[in-house]
Amino acid sequence: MIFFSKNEIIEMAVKIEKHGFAFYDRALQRSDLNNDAKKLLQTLRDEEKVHEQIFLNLREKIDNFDLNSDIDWDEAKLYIQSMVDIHLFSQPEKAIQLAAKARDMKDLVSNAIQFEKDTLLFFYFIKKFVAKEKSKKAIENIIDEEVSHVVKLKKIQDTL
Amino acid sequence: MENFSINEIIELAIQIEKKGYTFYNKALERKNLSSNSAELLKKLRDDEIVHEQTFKRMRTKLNREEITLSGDWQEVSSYLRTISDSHIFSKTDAAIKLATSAYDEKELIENAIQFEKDTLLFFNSIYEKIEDQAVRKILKKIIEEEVLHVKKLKNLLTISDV
Repeated sequence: MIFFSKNEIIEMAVKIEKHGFAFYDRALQRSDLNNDAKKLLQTLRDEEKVHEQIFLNLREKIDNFDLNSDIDWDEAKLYIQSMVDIHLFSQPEKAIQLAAKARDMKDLVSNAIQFEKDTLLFFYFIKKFVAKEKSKKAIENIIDEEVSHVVKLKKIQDTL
Repeated sequence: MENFSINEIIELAIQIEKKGYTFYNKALERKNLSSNSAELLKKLRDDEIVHEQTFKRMRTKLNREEITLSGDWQEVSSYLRTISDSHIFSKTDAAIKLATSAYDEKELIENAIQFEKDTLLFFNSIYEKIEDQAVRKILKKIIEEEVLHVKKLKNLLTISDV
């Protein structure tokens, strides 16, 4: 028996990307950003929007039969729910708060890195539950982009 | 910058488990821990020893074998270095500091959750890029146990008066 529908899983992913967009969008309103930071935050914000759209498209394309039937769904539910519960932006207002209230650039970038890491963890786990190659590949591509987000943010962090 | 070798990656995994042990062991020396917290911290500490031993056996086995790595290893190596550098216990003595200087039990448990999340991310990243099925099987089991650690720590935060 499958405890999550593919829609529920996709919906969680869409929410995470939306919250990421909200975080970066709010961060761009800050007055303490240098040009490099602004440029990076714009890129990251725009990529979250693209990722959200990719997940929405996936929702149209895949169906429940694409979920891996080898999975123990008791186990899967444990993982997925845990990864959602521990995500930095698990509550909607938190993303905006963390962007607005960060003490300084260092704090802001630290929050951004944490968000990207938590998102990556979530995507690693949902990838395990998808059986169809094409859907797996779509999630893998997003994982690769989120990885590049971490690398870019870390580079900025090292200069602060 | 040099690419990581497989041995270096396994060594990083061993160091992470060692630091986890140090953190939990130090945390258990704190006064006024609730009995629920103390019980869980002991279990987590003991699990880290088991994981460390598992990785050490893996390292011995891998020394004798060729391991297939994914084709984009240079990129992967760079990413793993970033993830490893951003691990909460990456700085010297961080594990001890985060156990002793946590303001209260709540902050202690939050530090523990952060440690487990960072560890999970590192292990998942390796899992994705190693093709050897025996290594993947071992990593999968450890990942499952670390997820349970996170869940138990989160439950402790939400249900107790921590």
